[in-house]
Parts: sequence; structure tokens; C-alpha cells
Amino acid sequence: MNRLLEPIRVGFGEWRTVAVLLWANWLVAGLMVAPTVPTVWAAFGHAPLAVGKPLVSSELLIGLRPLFVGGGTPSVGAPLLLLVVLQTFLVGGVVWRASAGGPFRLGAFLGQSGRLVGRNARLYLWLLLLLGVAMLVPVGLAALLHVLGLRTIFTMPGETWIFGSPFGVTSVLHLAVLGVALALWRLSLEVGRVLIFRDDLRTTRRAAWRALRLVLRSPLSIVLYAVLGAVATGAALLLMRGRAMLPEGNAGLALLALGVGQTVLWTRLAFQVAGTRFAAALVQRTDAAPRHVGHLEEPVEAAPPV
Amino acid sequence: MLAPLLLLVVGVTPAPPRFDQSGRSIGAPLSDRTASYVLEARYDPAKRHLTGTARLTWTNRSDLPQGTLWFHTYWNAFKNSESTFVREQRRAGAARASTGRYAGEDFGWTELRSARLPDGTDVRSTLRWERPDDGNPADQTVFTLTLPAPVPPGGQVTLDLAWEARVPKLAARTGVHGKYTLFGQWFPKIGVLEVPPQRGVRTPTWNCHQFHATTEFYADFGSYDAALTVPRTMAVGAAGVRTGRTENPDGTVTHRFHQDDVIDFAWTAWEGALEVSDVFRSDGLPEVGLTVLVPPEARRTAPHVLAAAKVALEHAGRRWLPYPYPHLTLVAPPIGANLQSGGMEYPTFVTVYARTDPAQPRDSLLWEVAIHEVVHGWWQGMVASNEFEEAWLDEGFATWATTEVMNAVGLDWDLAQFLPPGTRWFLGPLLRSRIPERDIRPAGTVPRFESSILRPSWRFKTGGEMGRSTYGRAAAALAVLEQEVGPETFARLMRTYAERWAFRHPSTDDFLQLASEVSGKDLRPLGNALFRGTAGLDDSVTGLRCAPPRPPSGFFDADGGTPVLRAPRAADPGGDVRCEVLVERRGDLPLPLDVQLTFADGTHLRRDVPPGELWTRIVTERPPPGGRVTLAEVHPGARPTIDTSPGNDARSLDATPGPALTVGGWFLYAAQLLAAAVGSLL
Ligand SMILES: [Zn+2]
Repeated sequence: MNRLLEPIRVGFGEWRTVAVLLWANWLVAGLMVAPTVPTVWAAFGHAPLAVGKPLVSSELLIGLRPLFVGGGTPSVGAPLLLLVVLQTFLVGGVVWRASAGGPFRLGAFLGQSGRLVGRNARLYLWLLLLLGVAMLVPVGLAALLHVLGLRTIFTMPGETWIFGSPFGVTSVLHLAVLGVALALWRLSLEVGRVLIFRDDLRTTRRAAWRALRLVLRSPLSIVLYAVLGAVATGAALLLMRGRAMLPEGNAGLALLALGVGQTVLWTRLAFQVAGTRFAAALVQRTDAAPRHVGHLEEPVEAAPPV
Repeated sequence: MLAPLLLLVVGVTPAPPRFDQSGRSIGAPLSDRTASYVLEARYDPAKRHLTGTARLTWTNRSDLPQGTLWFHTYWNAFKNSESTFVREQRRAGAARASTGRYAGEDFGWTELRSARLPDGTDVRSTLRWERPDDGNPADQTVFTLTLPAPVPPGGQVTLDLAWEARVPKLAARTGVHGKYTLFGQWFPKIGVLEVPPQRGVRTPTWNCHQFHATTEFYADFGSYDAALTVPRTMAVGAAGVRTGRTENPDGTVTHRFHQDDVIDFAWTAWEGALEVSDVFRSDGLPEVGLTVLVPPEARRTAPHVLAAAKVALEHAGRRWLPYPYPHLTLVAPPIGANLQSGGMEYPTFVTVYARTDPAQPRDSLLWEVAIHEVVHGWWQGMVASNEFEEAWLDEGFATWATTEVMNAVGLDWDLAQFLPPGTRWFLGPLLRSRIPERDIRPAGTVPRFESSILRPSWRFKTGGEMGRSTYGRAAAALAVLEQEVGPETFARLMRTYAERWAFRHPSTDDFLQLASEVSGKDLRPLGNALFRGTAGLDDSVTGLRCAPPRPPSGFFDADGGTPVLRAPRAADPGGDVRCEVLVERRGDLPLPLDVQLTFADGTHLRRDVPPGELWTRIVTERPPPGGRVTLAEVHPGARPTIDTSPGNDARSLDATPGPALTVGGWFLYAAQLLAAAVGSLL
């Protein structure tokens, strides 16, 4: 139990790290919605017919489509590209916080991020191969079930989402297998990042390989990591539900809802840190004889040029 | 003695029936029965094969001899990738047309084997494929037969048609899906010989269009008698009244049905279907037996469908015309077959939707589609317009009528009900809503439409545009007429239209003519603009601002007439406040446009914008603070539903940050969640 609780404690305790991640999230989300601001204000800034109405109403949501006929739609592609860059950069700092502890310094955080960004990017590319392989399991399983006449959410007719019950026993079991396969991949990625940070590995291919072996040696960890992911998703869904239940209709309530919405994001990001911490603890426990420990006190200075 | 006692118990006195328990009319026929059929069909589901015979009795209503008869073979639309249906579906898309994903074995066809006259002459050899709409040589959905002797004016001909068919994979209301087969437009069907003055024709003219991806049907009234033989394991639901069921020695069962005075006959054969029966009883209306076929996994659908059907029969029976037919069958298809075959109207036989977990107490999706299909029993079932050429006359009417019925029972859309079971507990609060039917099918998104509402369905740019125009936009156009004449007159108008045109074939002009006659107002100019034009409507208040008047500056005549420079002074604090309102009209629909200004002191000012003007600026000068315009509205209290952006119909002087922050806040939140979701994969 403590193998789950300790990372969660660390994840939520690392509030400065979460704040940095939330800032990146805000930046990306802000860029996405920025093009809509003039349209939304022009349509709703002096709109007495829409006052007091919730989002899902004829006056707001149902009336949105005509507003964007002339453009002003949200942009998605470019901000998501920025997200990829930002996230790849920031994971170095997150690994530092999850592995080393000690006082948080933004400069050190960014320094670690900068030091590791290249290797983390290459590691990610290597592990995309693993993702492809790991996905063969759920894909093959879905195909097998299909032959047996059993449907998963990926093989059922699209209309099942409206008319049927997509979450039957088979589809939920298949989703669980998919979750474990994703957990294997994701945990390997996290462990790889920890190994690169801790042992200052230069060869990312070797790091990926070591990480995979380490993870495969501890199947329980994969399951626990999947459970951690499920807990994170459940917590976020509960908070999303709470946010959705808030009354709507005026500026104060809208701002309150936006604030409550941030708890959803905060929780999600804290669990992201917890996931990395889980990997760091796994490395500490299973790899008892690290070859090189040296940059806990002076992380930035110890960093070799990338 | 028993009957009055029963009535006492039930407390309902139904009207006398128009048909007996075998579907035959009591008293004078309701229709002219131009084309009647005795159908016999044998279905082998294992081979997806159908063998059929049809004895057609057709009357030449025209004053000219008719030697060539026109027929539909609708199923050849599914014969191969080159049919007009499949080509159009690929090009422009259409609802319910999954033929684009057909592979080899999925296709189906109809083949006429013989066509014999009573003396035994087989005229099959005279068959000629016709392509009246697009000349596509690969299309085989219309053919003609030439008789050795023409049918004289007023005369009758009887033809014994024998045909075979391969049942296609389910698409466009027809075909096989697992153990369920729906038979729509399934037999060789004679076209309509239009006779002056029917729908404006000047000489007798055959109206027999090819089967297009976006079109439905048009047919004469007649009597239908069917004997349908299927394996014993299959349940059968069909149009009309069940008149018999015979077990055959070969393990099959023959199901018999009959109905007089209908325009078509459709049926389903379905292994494993559950059958639920009920009766519609209401004071002064004929009784209607109801049968619902549902998939076992969605058995909870049945009560919703039955309740919605009763509500529609009640409302429509009282407002327009009592439903005369003794039986109505409603098919809720198996899950996986709803989008292709649910939501289709045939006389006394409709398909609706099925859900494994209907929302309670009233599932708006199930109710809406059931109401829509049942009211089609009036708009096209009885008032039998031409769905090829004037689809709005049934889809627009049915959409408008659905709104009427839903409003009458206080039923709105709750988007949370769309959620699949298992997600409702946490996504439900997000989507919980009450959206009127009218707003779910908006007229459009731009104030100028791409096509007129009134045009053949295959001549719309896309399938989507055809749908928007003939459903929501046409219903909104009807609502414009309703506003024009007032609700009471409009109710009278619709009732008169149903009474006068039931069992006949009205056109748009017939409707507008009748509407003008009943309302005492010439509605044809407005009607033509609505249905024949592309003009839409977006009236808006685009500006409202108030400011103290600027103090005068410049040269002014002093006493004696000499211009003197007046020094700028501060505005007179006791002076009037000047407000400017800008009203713009972005569509060309010639509706009157009135504007109402509300002042801070609660008083109102109304202005009409002159006809033909695309904008007007209204300036007021009144003493503050009560003289400030706080609100400007167009169409106060009577918003035309055809307005494509109703939200801009009013503008307040004060900013309304609430709606802007609600929408903007949701956008931001959704973007944050999206970024977090993508981030968790990195
Ligand atoms: Zn319809």
C-alpha cells in the first residue's frame, strides 16, 4: 500500500513542480482558445438573451455553430506541438524532483530539464517502439474476441455508444488489458528517465533496454502503476463531476467553475509527478548498487554538456 | 351488453372504426385505390434470397390510353457500385446509406422473372430500363413494360409479376443485419401516373424517379394483401392487420396481412425479436392496436415507444385527422442496425430506435423518433406528397408536427440522455439540459442558404444540406407562416389541409393555395420566398451605445449674422443623453422587422425598419438617467425560428460578462483537459 501512498504524497507535496506543469498547461490551453476570444466576446459580451443560461442551452452551446462560420475557431495543432516540446523539456526537472528531493529551485529545475532534454527526447523515440509492441497485445486480443463474436469498444458498431451498452464485461476486461499494456510502456519510460538522470547514461537505447528489463522483472510494479493510473483517472473524474455540477449563469459562477476546474488539472498533474516518483522508488529498490551517484547536491554543476 | 359494460369500466368511448379487423374498409373506400397488390413472398435468410409474386391491379385514371407502364425496382440501387444511389452516396453523402462500405457479397438486386396478363401473355420481354433523372446507363431502378393493348381511360389492368431478389446488407432502410431483415421498397412497384390537375401537370405524366441516395418515395393508394413465408424461428411484423398465420410442412410459416387505402407495404423478419402489444384508446378516436418489436437486450425500449406513439396518435388525431387504420407496428431495430434502419416511416409500419438503457422517465431520443415517425402517418402516409421532388412536404411537416407534439407534452431534449450507460453518473451533470426540439434542428447557420427548400432531393449540393433544408429549415419556414397568420388560424389551416388532401397527392402550390384560402391572406409571396428562394434571416442588433451629447464647437452666427468662434464648453450636465442603436438585416427574407428600445425608466419605443432596408440607425435623445437605452431588441416577443443567429436579436447597454465567461471558461477548461490528456502520453 505504501508503494502507492508514498508516491502520491510526494506528488502532491511537490506543489512547486505541479505549479510549473500547470503553468505549461495554461500556456498551451490559452493559445488554443485565444483565437476564439474576439468572437466569444462579440457574441456574448452584450447578450441579454444569454444571461443566466448554462453552457448546455439553446442560447449558448446550441447557438455556437453559426458564430464560427466566419472563422475564429480554436487552434489545436500548433499549441499541441508546443506542448510536446514543453513537456519533453520539463520532464527532466520532474525526474530530478521525484528522484532527488531537497529544496525546490526553479533555476535548478530548468537546469536539469535543459541538461536531460535531448536524451529524454531520444529515449521517448526508442520507447515508441516498445509502445508499438505492447499495443500488439490489446489489438490481438480485440481481434481474437471479434472472431469469437465478442465486442470491445474498438470493434463494436459505432452506434453502440448511443443505443447500446459499450461497457460490457468483455469490453471492460479488454480495457483492463489495454491499461496494463499502457502501464508497462509508461512505467518503462519513467524508469528510463530516472536511470538516465541517476546514472547519467549517455546511450538512450541502453537506458530504454535496462528500463524495460527492470520493469519486466517486477510485474507487480506494472499492476501497481496501472492502479496508480486508475486512481488518478478516478480522482480526476470525480472532481470533473463536481465541477460539472456547479450552477452556471453568471460571471462569478463561471469564475468559480474555472477555479474548481483547476483542481482537476492540479490533481492530474500531481499524479503525473507521483508516477515519476513511483518509477524512482522502483529503481531505488530493485537496482541496489547504482554505479554513479553524484549530483544530488550540485545537480546543475555536475551536468555534463548535453 | 358486454361492450357498454366494458366501456363503463374503461371510461373511454372510441369512435367507430373505419376498417374491420382484417384491414378492409367499412363503408366507402377512403382512397381511389389506383394501384393494389396481392403479394406473396418466400424468404430464405440463409441464402439471403427472396422469391415473390405480385398481382397488381392498376387503374388508368387519365383520359388517355396507357400502353407503357412505369415501375420501380428500388433494390437495384444496391446492385453494384455504379448505381445512381451508390454513386451519389459516394459523392455527396446521405444519411442511412452505408453502401459506400459494401464489399462483394453485400450487394443485392431485384430481377423480374415474368409479367403476365390475365390471358397468359408474358410482357417481360418488353422490359426497358429507364434513367429519367441522370441517364446513368448502369442504373436499373426504373423500368417500363409495354402492353400489347393499352389500358383505356378509366380502364384497369391486372399483371402477375414474378420476381427474385438478393437481400442486400442493411443500408438505407433495407437489408440484412444478423438475424434481422427489413424489407422496404422490396417489390416491383408501379410509378404514379399524374393526371391533371394533380401537382400541376398539364397532361397525364408518369412520375417514376430513380432511387437516389437522398430520396424517399411516392406512390398511389391501394389495397395491399400479403402472404409472407419465412422460417418458423422468425418473428414477422408488417404493415396492416395480421389476418392469418399458417404453419407449413417444410418448417416455414406463412404470415398474412392486409390493409386497404395505403401507399406502401413494408415488413420485417427477425429471429429473436420480442413482440409487445398494446391498444391506443381515446374518446372519440378510433382504436389502434399497437405492436412493438424490440431486440431482447433493449426490451426496456418498448414502454417508451408505446407511450410516445400514443401521445402522437392522440395529438395528431385531435388536431388534424383521426388515425383511421386499426393497427400500427413499430420496429425498434437491434443495436447495430439503428442508424441504417431506424427512424423510417411506412404506412402503418414504422421503424424507431432501440436503446438498451433508456433514460427515465422519458427518453427523449426514443420519444422523438417515435413521435416523428408516427406523425408521418399523416404527412405522407395519408397526405401523400411526392418525397422525391418535394421532400419538405413530409419531412418539414413531420419535423414541425413533432415539435407540436413534444411541446404539448412538455418534452425537451436532455443531452445527458445521449450518454452511454456507465458514463452517465459522472458525465450526466455536464450535459443535463432542456433544449426545445425546435432548437435541436436549427434552420441553418448562415443567413443565405445554398439551395431552395423546394427541389428534388438529389439536386441538393450535399446530403447534409438536403437534410437541413427539408427538416429543420422547412419546419422553421412553417413556423414563419404560423407567426404570419397567428396560431389559431394556422391550426385551422393545418386541419383543413389534412382533411382536404388526405388520400390524395398535394404539391407545395396546393398547400400555399389552401393556406391563403383558409387564412384569407395571400401567403404565396411569402411562401415562395421561403420554399422556392434561398433567402434566410439573421436580424440583429449590432450596436448600442449612449453618450452625453458633444458640446457644440466651431463658428456660430452671432446676433447680426457674423460667424463667431464659440469657445468649447463642457457638456451641459442637465442635457439629454444621446443613444445610438444599429440594427442590421443579414438575410433577404422579406419579413417585417420591428425594433423595440427599452429605456432605463422602463418606457419603450418601437420602430419599424422600412421594407427593403438592410440596416437602420435609431438615435434617441432623452434626459438622463431614465433616458438611457438599456436594451434594444428586434422582433420583440416573437422571434422567428428561421433566424439563423437568434442570440444577436437583443443587445444590452451594459456588458454581460456572465455568458462570455461561461463560454470562454468552458473553452479554456476543455483545452486544459485536452492538453493534460495529450501530456499524459508524453
Ligand atoms: Zn421523417
